[in-house]
Amino acid sequence: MANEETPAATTEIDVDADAGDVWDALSTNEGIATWLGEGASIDPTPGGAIHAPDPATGIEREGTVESVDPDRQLRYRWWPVSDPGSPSSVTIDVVPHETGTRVTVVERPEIPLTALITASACASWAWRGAMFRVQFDLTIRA
Amino acid sequence: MTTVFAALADDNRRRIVESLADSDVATATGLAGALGISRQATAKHLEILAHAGLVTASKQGRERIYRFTPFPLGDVQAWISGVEGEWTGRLSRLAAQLEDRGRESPEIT
Repeated sequence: MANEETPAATTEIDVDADAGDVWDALSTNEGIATWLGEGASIDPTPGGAIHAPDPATGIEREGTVESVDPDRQLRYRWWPVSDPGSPSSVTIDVVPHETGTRVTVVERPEIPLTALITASACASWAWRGAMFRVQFDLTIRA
Repeated sequence: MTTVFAALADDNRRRIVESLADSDVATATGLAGALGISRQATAKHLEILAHAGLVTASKQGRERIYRFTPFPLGDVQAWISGVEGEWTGRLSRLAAQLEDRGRESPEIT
């Protein structure tokens, strides 16, 4: 019995701007500095660097651009400079609609392999014979 | 949350978690034998898992027995909520910047 989930933080917003302007704000140094923090930078090519001081969270991050589909999707990996062993992957989708553009961000923690946690607790004093099995798929890199 | 994921980033630690989950409780010696790794290495892995809150240890006679505790998985939800909060702030700033720019530069028709 499996109850699989892929832990991911998903956030989206509708912006009153066209997709090209949104893309510029996501993929240029001038653009990302306005929302990711002064001094933020990105090289929007696969393998390019991203740097995010992010004063709002107080966590400085750096990372690498994974893929770029201009005006549509940007994917990168990043990690806290203070904790490079905890990378996560970020996928940003840009989708135009009738009144503007929807921006959807999905961030997932990244582990080298799929981690399968099988929690099975059985029948002791607390559980009165009940058995739980939870499978938790911490997916990781595609 | 970072601690939980870091603890699970190691293949042997995931195998320990899976083995403990299946057997309910185990000793470091028993786990080492089942997994084919040294007792010392197993004890170190168990220490990391315990630090992450994924296993608990208790004494039973002369043995120290380990038990899987699934509760830290609640931290995953906490991580998701935290990251979503960060992105909500970022995207709000993004939208505000773009919409301010749009007002400053109205389209000429």
